[in-house]
Order: sequence, then C-alpha cells, then structure tokens
Amino acid sequence: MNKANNPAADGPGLLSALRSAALYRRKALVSLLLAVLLALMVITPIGALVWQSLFDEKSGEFTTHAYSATYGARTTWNAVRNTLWIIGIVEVVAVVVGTALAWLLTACDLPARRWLMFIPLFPLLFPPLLSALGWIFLLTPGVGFVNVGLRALLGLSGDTGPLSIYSMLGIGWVMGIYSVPYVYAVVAPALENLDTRLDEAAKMCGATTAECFWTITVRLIMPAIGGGALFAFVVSASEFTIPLLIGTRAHIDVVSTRLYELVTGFPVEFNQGAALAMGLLGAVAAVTALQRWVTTRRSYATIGGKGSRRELVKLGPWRWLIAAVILGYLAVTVIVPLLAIVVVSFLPFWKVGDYAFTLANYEYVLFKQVGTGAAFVNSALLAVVGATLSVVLALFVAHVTLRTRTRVNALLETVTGLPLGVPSIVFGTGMLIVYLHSPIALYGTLISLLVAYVAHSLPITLRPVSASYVQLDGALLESAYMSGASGSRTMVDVVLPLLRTSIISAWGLTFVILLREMPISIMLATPGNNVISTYLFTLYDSQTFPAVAALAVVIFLVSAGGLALIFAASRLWRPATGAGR
Amino acid sequence: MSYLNIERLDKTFPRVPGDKESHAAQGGVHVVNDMSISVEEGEIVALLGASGSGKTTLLRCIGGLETPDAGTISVAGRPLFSVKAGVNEPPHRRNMGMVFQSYALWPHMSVVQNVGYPLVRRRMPAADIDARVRQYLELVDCAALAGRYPHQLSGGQQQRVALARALVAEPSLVLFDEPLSNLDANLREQLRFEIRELKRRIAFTGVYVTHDHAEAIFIADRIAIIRDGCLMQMGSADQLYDAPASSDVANFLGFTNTLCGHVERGNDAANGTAALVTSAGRLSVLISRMHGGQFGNERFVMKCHPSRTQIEEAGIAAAIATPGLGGRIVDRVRVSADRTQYVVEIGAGITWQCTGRQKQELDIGTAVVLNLAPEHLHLFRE
Repeated sequence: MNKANNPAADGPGLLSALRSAALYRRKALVSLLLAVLLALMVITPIGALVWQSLFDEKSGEFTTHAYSATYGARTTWNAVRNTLWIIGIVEVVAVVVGTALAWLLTACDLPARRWLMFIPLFPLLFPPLLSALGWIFLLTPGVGFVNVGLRALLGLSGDTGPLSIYSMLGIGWVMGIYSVPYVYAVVAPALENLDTRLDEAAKMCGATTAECFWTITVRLIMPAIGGGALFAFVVSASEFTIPLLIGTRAHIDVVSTRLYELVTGFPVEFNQGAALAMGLLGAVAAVTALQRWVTTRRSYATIGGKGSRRELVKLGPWRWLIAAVILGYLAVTVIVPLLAIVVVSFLPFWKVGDYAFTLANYEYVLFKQVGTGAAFVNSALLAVVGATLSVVLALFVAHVTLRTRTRVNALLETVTGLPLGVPSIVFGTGMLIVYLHSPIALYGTLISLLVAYVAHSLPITLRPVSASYVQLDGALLESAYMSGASGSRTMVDVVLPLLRTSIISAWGLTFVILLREMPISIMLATPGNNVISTYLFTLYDSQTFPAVAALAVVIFLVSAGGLALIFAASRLWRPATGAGR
Repeated sequence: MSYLNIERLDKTFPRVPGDKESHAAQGGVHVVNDMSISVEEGEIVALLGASGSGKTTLLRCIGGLETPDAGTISVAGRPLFSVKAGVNEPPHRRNMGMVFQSYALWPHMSVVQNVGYPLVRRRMPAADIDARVRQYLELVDCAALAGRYPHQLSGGQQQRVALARALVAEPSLVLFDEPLSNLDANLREQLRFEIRELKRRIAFTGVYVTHDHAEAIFIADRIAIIRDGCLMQMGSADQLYDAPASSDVANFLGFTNTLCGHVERGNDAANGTAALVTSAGRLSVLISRMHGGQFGNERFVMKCHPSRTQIEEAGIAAAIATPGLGGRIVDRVRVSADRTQYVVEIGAGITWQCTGRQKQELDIGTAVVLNLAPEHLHLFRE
C-alpha cells in the first residue's frame, strides 16, 4: 500500500509522470529538456575542471595539491605578471584610441560621419589569427616590412630593429587594436545620448571646448569608459591565439598559453592545468560581474538624453585631416596587415631585399601538403554543420524562452548564457578532460569538436536570432497552429521565411567564427584530425612563413567566399509559399 | 450533450519571477475558475467580460493554445481535452478556425496563399483548394484582392481575409478573439453586420470574445458574462437584460441606477407587487423578484437600466396621475442620433440616469416624474 516504500512503484510512477508531462506540460517539458541538454554541454566541462583540479586521478581522493603546485610555481606567477602587463598595454591602447574615436565620431562635424562611424568596428571582422600573422610580417625585428622600411628611412645600421613584435609591447599592441572596438562600442552610444545642455552650461560659465571636454564630457562618460575597459580586460585575459602565435616565439608566457603548455606539453599536467583554468575562469567571472555592475548601474550619462539636439563641435578645415586619420586608422589596423600577409604569400623566401614573385607557396600548401585538404574539409564540415545546429538550437531556445511561460524558462536562459563568461581556452580544456574520461571514445573525432563548437557558439548565435524572434507577433504562429500546422510545420512555413534575413546572418557569423576557431580546436584536434587553424599553427611552428601566409590568404578567401555564397543564396531562396511576390 | 462542452475547466498561470503582472497570489493567477459552458451547434456564443476577466484564456484553452489544469473540453462528442481520459489534442488537430485581434495574416504569403493555407494543411487537392479559396474570398467580398500581400491591404480588408482563412476549411468551431477591436467605429459596425450575414449564409458554430456589449448583443445568439475567471450568467441578450442574475451582472450590463431600501407588503399584493421603500421615495416592485428575501427589515439593492425609464414633465404626470419618483433634470447629454441622456436628481445627492426614447426634449431644471414600471426594477438581496 505504501508507495514510498515500494521501489517497484517508482518505475510506472515515473512513466506515468512523464506521460502526463508529455500530454499537459509539453512546453515545460521541452524547456526542461533543452535546459538539460545545454547544461550537459556547458556545465559538464566546467564540472570536469573542478573535479580534475580537486581529486587525485589515481586514488580518487580529495586533494588541493594541484592548486598548491600550480600557484606555488614561479612559471605561473610569471605568466600572470605577463598577462597583467599586456592587459595594461591593451587598456592604454583600447581606452585612448577607443574613446578618442568615439568622441571624434559622435561629437564632431566630420564629413560622412554616419559612414565613418562603422570604421572602428572593422577590426572585429579581422580574426585574431590573421591579425597576429599580419603584424608578425610587419614587425619582426629582422625582416618585418616596417622594420626594413624604417631602417632604410632613418639610415640605421644593423639588420634588426628598431621595432619588435616579439615583446610584451608587440603582443599588447596587436591585442589592443583588437580591443578598441569593445571600448568604442560602449562609449560611442553613451556620448551620443549625452545631454549637450550640460556642455553648453559649462561653456556659458567660460569653459573652452577643450576644458569642456575634460571637465564635463569625460567625467560624464566615465562609467561607459570603465565598462568598455573592463570588457576589454575580459577579452584580453581570455585571448589565446595572439599570445600563442607571437608569445611562444618571444618566450613570453601568458596565462592562456601557460594553460595550453600544461595540458599539451610533456609531461602532461592535467591537474595543474585544471587548477590554472579554474583561476582564469574565476578571474574572468569576477571582472565580468564587475563590468555588468558598472554598466547596469544608473549612469548619469543618459539623463535627459533624448530631447536635446546635438550641436556638433566645429573643427573647421581640421575635419578633413581627422577624417583622413580615421581612414588611415582603418588602413593600419586592417588593410596593411592583410596586405603584408598577401605579399609574403607570394614570396619564395621571406628575406630582406629578396622580393621575387612566385605562386609556389599556394601550390605547396594546396597540392603538395597532404594535410591541407583534410584540414579544410574538416573545418568546412564542422563550420557548416556546427553553424546549422547552433542556429537550430538558437531558434528552439528563442521560441521556448519567448513564446512560452513556464517556470523552467529562467533556468534555460541562465544555462544558455553561461558559455559567454567562459574563456574558450578554459572551455576547450574542460572539454578535453571530459572526452578523455568519456566512456564513449569521442576523443579525436569530429563529433567531439562539433559538440564543443556548438556549445561555444550558441550564445553568440542566439543573440541575433532571439532579437529578431522578439519582433515576431505570436499570433502569426498561433494562426498557423489553428490552421492545422504542427509546431515543426509552423517553423518551416512561417518562422523561417519571416526571420530569413536574421537567421542567415546569424548562420554566417557562426560559420566564420567556427571556420577559424583556434583555442578549442587546438585542445581537441589530434594530428590525424586537424582543422584549418590547428593545421596553420603546425605549419607556423615549422617556420615556413610564406606557406603559412598562403594558407592564411586561402582561409580568408574561403570565409569571405562562404559568406558571399550564403548571402547570394539567401537572395535567391524564396520560401515555396511566398513565390511570385 | 451539447455541441461544444466545457466542463469544470480550471487554469492557473504560474507566477513568473520578475513579472509584475502576476503579483496577485503566491501560487499564481487563477484565470479560469471551475468554468462550465455549453454551445449548441450553429450558434455563436459571446464571452463578454472586462479585460483580465479570463475570457481570452478560456478561448485559447478551447483552441489548445493554452493547456488547462483540469476539466474537459469536447466538440461534437470528440474529447479534445480531458485530464481524466488523458487527452490533450494539440491545436492543429482540433479542426478549428480562429480570427485574431491583430489579424495575424502571414506577411510573406499572398491573400490566396493565406486563405488556402488551412486547406493545404488538410491535404486538399490543389484544384479544389483554388475553387474553395475563390468561393470564400467572394463571401467576404475580397475576390479582387487575391494576388495582393497583407501589407497592401487596409485593416478592414485584412480582417475580412483573416475571416475567410478561419472559415475556409469549414472547421467544427470558429474562435474569434476580439476580432474587431483594432478597427475604427464605422468599420466595426459594418463588419459586425457581415459576420452575422456570413453566419446566415454558411452555418458555423462560434465562440466570440469581446468586451463590447453592443458587439456581443449584435453578433451572438447567447452571451456568457465572465468575471474573475467565473461564469456569472449565460443567456440571450433578452434574458440577460430582463433578468440579470446578480447585482454584479447588472452592474456589468450597465444597470447604473441604484437605490437601496426594504420591501413592505402593500395593498397591491394581489397583482404581485409590493413597495420598495428608499430614501428617494416608494417604488412599486415585483414580489417574484425578491429572490426569497424577507419583507420588513431585510435590505435590498434595486437596479434599473437607464434605457428602461421614461420621464414625464411633472405637470403632465400629475394630470394623468402617473405613479413614480419626482425629481429635477440636472444634466442633459445627447448620446446618439435619437437619444438623449438625462440626469435627474431625485433626492439629496441621489441621481438617476434615463436614456429611454423620450416624447419631447426637456430643459435642464425641469421638474419631472420618473415613470418606472415594476418589471424593469431588479431587486437583489444585500
């Protein structure tokens, strides 16, 4: 009679509970299943790191040995010190350049201002992998183009210098350029919303434009600058590709590359790697929390923002010069490094003065190297399938969180957002540990990479998808249900056609990110199972620079071509039901 | 067994954290409370209630867009929802049509594609679909718009197309979710008429949600008055206005004139009337309307609809000896082409509204007598 004491009753009880949930709590059930699936993908690797760092692998006993070994080692603190130094340089570059660009582009009467405003965002489109390579080709002490030019221009003797990419300053410079958009993207809107009456009041009190800028404008947008700077901190602390390419050659370890050495070097130190990963995760989480607090706190920058019409600062003839400088900024940050890669890719050898033209590098990379084809196929396959899965999951999550109200939704939202706060290299390490202990032999398979890719990219894909899903009137879906369309039918007939544009751009974004993904790939890919980024690193390690450059150009062309193809296809693709418009 | 049977339906919305709307109870908001309603084949029943009364949720439960917590729903003997029997048909298998407040035409489909969609989903052969779509577009007077897209249509045209889409598959039940409230007044009246006309030409059974009394009276055969998730009263417009079941229903239906008092057994007990003694005077009321209340001390609330009162000028009233309450006109408002609303002061601070069709125009300040027939005075026990 007593069901609680009768284990046999549990089976049917659970079954009937499931059955009734499937019948009456469909939405909550779907939401719960999604949350569980995503939690498996995201929380498992973090849990694996916790376990690996706290338990002895052989005896299974609790021990803090990994932490004491890691944080007692000089190499660790050396890496931490380097990381902080580099972040310091990054912050100077990002905050100064980002704020200056934001002010010039929002408050001054520059020609074609509306177009120029997009320029500071361009480096975001230029992946760190290519950015690092480009700057290596420009600033290598001996043969870097800039150094060769400077030596000739200034009449310097010797065959190295004066600048070097293989320094903290070099790493900080490349990462700083990459971080400028993060500061700009926060500060520019804050400036745009700034109530100009406050400025005018200061001018009526006798302040000059410059005094006004320093005593009023800068003070008011301080929270925005702080938020942007903290975001740049998080991005830089998590950055792996740039310090890997430049730092290993310069013998400058940062935390992320130190983590990589611990987990992939000899002897392998998984426990210490996990402990270091936990430290990096904790630091990044703390700074992210601080950043959220700074940016969501009511800042005085937006008070009374909307009503006032902005009076732009008149720069006179200077405005043309400054517009030219901003265009020059685009050239320096994106075009010149890219050109450097292209030029090197056509050189037989990368030597001073020996500049003959050849296609041999492309021939070598594309046809003579056995690994290239396989790596390309793997990457393309993973990027296409990963982006598709990511978009499908994002659609599901957006649908469930926005169109249903169940108590499980809060959980689902939290779980989906989690990977955003986890540095890729930490996530990759966690995934590696999971796969090495997985009862199913997944390590070294494409599936292992795919799962990690999807979990990693979902929050990035979700943002544009759910932003457009919000705009969709729920009645459009319900009228389809009432017309006799099932849930999946409605997705195909109504949701996909209506959200076509944003779904395709979300897909394209994810595709490009996955195609050149480095930190997770380098943790999970094996020599027999390279993807394009890890394959490029292998080539880079063997010092065949022109071949690396050729491969980088090919990667760039494939991503650009892939995107162009998708957008072209999207123009042709009209849903069957919408034909004849 | 009626055509549409809803028995003891219950629905509580969960309390969503951070949602300010649902602060009501800790356990959530009880939107549909033990509701039982039946609709006969071929009739339209209006669910009439204020916003937040639960009428839309009830409609969505019928359509399967919301899942109730308890109760049963069946159409034409086919159970669609029943916790006991373990049935919960998804919306697309309920064979219903629905008209939405926001029209909800799919912007990427033409008018023909929109209207044809329910038929495509029901696997009808393409040639039959063409013929049927044309037939229904003609019914709603939109045949000329066939190739257009929703954004090229006016609001009224969009709602006509939506109407055709809801009806085209000849569903077992048509649900209307405040379909006219986005339209301007003239168009609303016109479409009201057209829906009634459609019902005459192609018989369908419908449930019609609205907060507009006039719309409910015009379109529906019967009206269900809903408040706080409960069914207050259901019946034809005549039944409701002739016999509101409670003072709440009377309030909701616009029985604005209220007087309180006790009932005394008068001399007229023979013709079924007694006297209600109020602070404004004595009124003749029907004994049968006392709902079992006591003569003497028990307090009653009396309600009367403004349209059911006649005004007589005091002098004329005295001449023909009309019984009623005396008063003075304090305000006069023209409410429609042939009706004027008078506000009459019948005691210190007590006013009475009348919108009944009057024989003549009276000025503010005129002394009048209110002619109140006993059958139009509704008593409720306090």
